[in-house]
Amino acid sequence: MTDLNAFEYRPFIPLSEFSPPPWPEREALRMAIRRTKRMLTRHEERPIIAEDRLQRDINALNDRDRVAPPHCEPLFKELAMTLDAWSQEIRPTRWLQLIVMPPGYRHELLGEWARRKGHEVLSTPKRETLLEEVAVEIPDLHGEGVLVIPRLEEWFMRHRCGLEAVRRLLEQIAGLERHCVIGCQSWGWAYLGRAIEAHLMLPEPLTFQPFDEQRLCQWLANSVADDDFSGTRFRLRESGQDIFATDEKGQPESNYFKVLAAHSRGIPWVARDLWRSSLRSRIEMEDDDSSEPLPFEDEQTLWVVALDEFSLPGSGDSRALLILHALLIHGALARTELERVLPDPGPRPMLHALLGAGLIEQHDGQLRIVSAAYPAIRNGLATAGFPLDRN
Amino acid sequence: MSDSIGASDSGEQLLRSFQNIDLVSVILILLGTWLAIALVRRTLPWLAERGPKRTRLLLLGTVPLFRLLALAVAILWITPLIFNVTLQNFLVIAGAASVAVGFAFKDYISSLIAGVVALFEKPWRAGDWVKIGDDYGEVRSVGLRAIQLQTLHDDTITVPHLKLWDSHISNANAGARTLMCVTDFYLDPRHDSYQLRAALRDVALTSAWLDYDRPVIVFVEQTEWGTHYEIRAYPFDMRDQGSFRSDLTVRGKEAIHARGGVEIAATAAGVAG
Repeated sequence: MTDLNAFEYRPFIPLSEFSPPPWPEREALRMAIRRTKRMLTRHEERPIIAEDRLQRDINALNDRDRVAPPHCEPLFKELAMTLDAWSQEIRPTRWLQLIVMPPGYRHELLGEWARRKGHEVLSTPKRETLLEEVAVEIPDLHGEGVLVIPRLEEWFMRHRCGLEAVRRLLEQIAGLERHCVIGCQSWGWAYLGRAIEAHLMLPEPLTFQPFDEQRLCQWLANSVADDDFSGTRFRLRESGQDIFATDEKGQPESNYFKVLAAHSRGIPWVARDLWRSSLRSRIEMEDDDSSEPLPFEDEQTLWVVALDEFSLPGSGDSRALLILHALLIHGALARTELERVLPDPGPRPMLHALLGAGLIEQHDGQLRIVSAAYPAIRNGLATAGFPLDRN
Repeated sequence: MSDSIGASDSGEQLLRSFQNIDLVSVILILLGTWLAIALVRRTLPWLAERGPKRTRLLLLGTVPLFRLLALAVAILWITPLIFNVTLQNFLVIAGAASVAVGFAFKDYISSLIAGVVALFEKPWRAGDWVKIGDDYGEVRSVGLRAIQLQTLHDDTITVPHLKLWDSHISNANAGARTLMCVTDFYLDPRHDSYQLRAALRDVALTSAWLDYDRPVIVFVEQTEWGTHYEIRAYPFDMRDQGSFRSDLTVRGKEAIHARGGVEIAATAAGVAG
């Protein structure tokens, strides 16, 4: 098994240096063939839900995780490594720090860090107030200690009235002589860079180092142990190989985590959700008619099936892509808010289709993309020519 | 008698004797060329519509180039199979062809030649949005003799390459994946231009179709019938230009009314306030 205590914490890096882990050559070839085949056999009129791969029967482990995904603890430690020393400097070389993260993380990384460290958190305005003709008042930001703005994407809406508040906020922050940490989702940041030239007012953004094969394997092995699955073996369905088994050098024996790292673009929560959605219990293996006893019957085993690539609706319907793009820029939106940032009224039928396909989900009235579907969504938007983020 | 023998000799020198012409090869070359061109004409546009947007124009632009190359190879291949290729014979063929072309197929041949010139001058390419005369649309296909435009109203217009010689051709994207869209507003001059220009700029910056990598400009000028505003911005895909301009128009009007602006209708006959 992997050494559970060997996780290597690494400080955050500039966003421009973020590079997703590469695909193993053989998997890259397979992926290219699959994508070409899909492109050639695609039917524009096919129903959106028909290709759904997220709604497959998943076991109780996944259901529990879907409701309350755990924190990504290594990220907190790495964030603290990056910010703690700076936050204690009396006169730092720069007062601002900007943390840009990919979408899909259900918790507030910066907010949680601020809460643990006792820093002041600036509350976000209500979204509907951002759409009023008169811009919201920005509170006085001067004061002592570290000020944290966990989600800059909640300070604007892609609406003709929705940019004024974030403009005023950043103008205040740019002249502030106080420690200030701003968090923003990568798609929102890309949009703000264009819409209000935020990159000219804020420092170069930082982000975590991508979770490569080694880091993913160690982190998931740790989280399995934390989830009381320490007695469970996770075996590849095709070969029966234990995915956490390592060779003499401590490297994973299978290339499962290499593929997972590339598939998830090095984003840990996406990798975790993809991994969990690929788990199958023994019962689900018995659909073949084989009368031979299953291997490893004497141990508690969860089977890991091949990682699927989700597919988006046919390119003929841009409404789905517009909805997904809007959700990526804003992080999460209520239905009425979503309608305000889309060009055409009446996205509701398509919303139902996307929810049914498992590409987006709704929690507490807020719509957001499903993190396991993020790589496919990003790929679909890139193919259709939409502006992308930089992660 | 001697004249007819001489003519017969020159005919034999020009054309190979019928027994010496490899008709099977000629037919196979013609058939192969036709098949290759037909295959490329169907396959590449089909792939262009399904593949990534960044490769679309490249694939579409390959079709006419391939056709020109295939035809040139086929002609060069077949000619020595049928004719005795000498300088004298070349001049005879060229002279005869010139007379035939001059009288019978002048415009057709002119269009063919213009088509070849267009491949190198590139006033239009497949996938470009061009305006030729009063017709504006996307170049859907580039044929030997003519191009086909698909207008925003979904009409298909065939324009002969001949137009290249004597028409103004306006190309909105010239091979790029996007093009500038201009949305006009005419306002009663009694308003705060500073505020309105900023509001219209935000209208463009918040469009779902905006290309982030291109500039957004709001141009303002005072005309004799009112204040003219132009939003100049780029959609990320030029085929969304209709949706993009509609979006800017609808939300631009909303912004104007919210800022207390009053639109006026300017026509050739006059101005309606």
